[in-house]
Amino acid sequence: MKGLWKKDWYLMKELKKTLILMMLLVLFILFTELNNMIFVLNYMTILSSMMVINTFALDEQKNGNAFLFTLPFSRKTYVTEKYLFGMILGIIGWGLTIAAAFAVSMIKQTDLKWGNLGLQGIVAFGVFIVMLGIAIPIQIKFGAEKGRIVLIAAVLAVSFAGAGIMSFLQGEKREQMMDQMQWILRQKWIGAAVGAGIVCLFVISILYSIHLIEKKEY
Amino acid sequence: MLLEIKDIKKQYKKFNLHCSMEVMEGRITGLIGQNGAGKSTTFKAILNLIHLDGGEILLFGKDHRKLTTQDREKIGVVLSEGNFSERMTPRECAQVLNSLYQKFDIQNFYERCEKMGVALNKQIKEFSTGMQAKLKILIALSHQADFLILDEPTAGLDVVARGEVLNLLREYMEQEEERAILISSHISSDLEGLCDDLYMIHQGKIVLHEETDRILSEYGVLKVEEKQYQRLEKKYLIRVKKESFGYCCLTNERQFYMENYPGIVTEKGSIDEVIEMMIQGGTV
Repeated sequence: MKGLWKKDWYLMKELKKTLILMMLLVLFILFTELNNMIFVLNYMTILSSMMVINTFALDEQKNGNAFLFTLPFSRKTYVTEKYLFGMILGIIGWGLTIAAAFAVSMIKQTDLKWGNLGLQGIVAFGVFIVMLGIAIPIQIKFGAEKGRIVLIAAVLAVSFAGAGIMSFLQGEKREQMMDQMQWILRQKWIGAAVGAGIVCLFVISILYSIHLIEKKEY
Repeated sequence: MLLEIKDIKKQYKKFNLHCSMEVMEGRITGLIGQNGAGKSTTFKAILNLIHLDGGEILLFGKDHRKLTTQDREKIGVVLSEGNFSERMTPRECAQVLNSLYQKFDIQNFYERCEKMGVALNKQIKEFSTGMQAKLKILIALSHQADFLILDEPTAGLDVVARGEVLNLLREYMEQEEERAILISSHISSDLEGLCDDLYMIHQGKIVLHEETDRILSEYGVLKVEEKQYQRLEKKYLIRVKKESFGYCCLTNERQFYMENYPGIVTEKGSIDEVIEMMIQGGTV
């Protein structure tokens, strides 16, 4: 796995400029609105972890995958490394954003609400794990080019479905549902249930990706 | 036996592969055929890059789908298409390979790159086709593999570079007796001077398997008129092709016809001619 790891880091060097631009943007947002952390955290962790998708695309270019799979590692190792790599990238983006928020709060001499930040950090972490769990099997199944389109279509479909449900529920029904949702969110067990759900989804995603790549022909 | 391909089948919409072949230790075996004949598909099947519809492939005596990482370290591969990402440099490729192969000799790889004029710090995308081909070969040779599987390794190389690559392959074989190479090329002269035996593939089927020396010394093409053809002993004719002057006949017993039919034109067989006759000619 060490060899694959090195390969992906070398591929990432091309994205250095993008990373620097992202960090500058994060610093700018934090300076303007320090307590808007949830957006920045989500944005940075998801964007960082999604860079693993670029490494899929680069591996695939000019039939590169065919050559890669003649090297001494299994397809299972290849997939596992991608998940780990995506997680590490997400954690780096997540950590950098929290560090940047801390630095900005020091410079501006503002108090960060650490309690909120902790909760927002956990939410952002969960969101990026889910995104990674969805994006990787899509990339493997559809390839780099089609995969991007399918991923965008999936996100749009979920958004439209959500908006559709909300517009379908009018008046009392809508208020009732909102009340029920808020009741659910207030329960203590909800955090553990969501966490367990995310872990399950992630494991299923890894297993499905391994199944997909083992079936694939190059 | 290093490689045994037993009656493998792979069906596509417009192409069917159905072949058997073997590669023995200490030998260089060539696979030759036209574009689209099934060479690359055969290589992909050996390397488990495609799934078979039937048959069996044994590599190092094991099912090719069940090779361990250690087994895979014993194989060096060149694919006609496919390499490390073009964004990487040969130095970076070497670092990756050094982590993947226990026997990778990084210093030797750098020295060979330098000797062959492969720039270590340049991205592969800046390389010419020939330079990319050289890098692929150097990668395949870099980790003391027991078996090289080379699909069109000399494609894109000029005459001098082709000579260099073929010499590298000869050196590789001289280092250890048990090593073997399976190589494909559309340049028959490359295989003529390198291979111990040749498989000829056409439309997914092996149409000929013969020792290279035997093709060069005993095969021949007879050019005969209609009357001469009628009188000709046909036992040693493999293929016949109708021509404006009469017939072209491929034989694997050229000497027999030279001795018994002194009046007919007998040409020494070259691999190109044998391929042409095997593909275009009909059975007797």
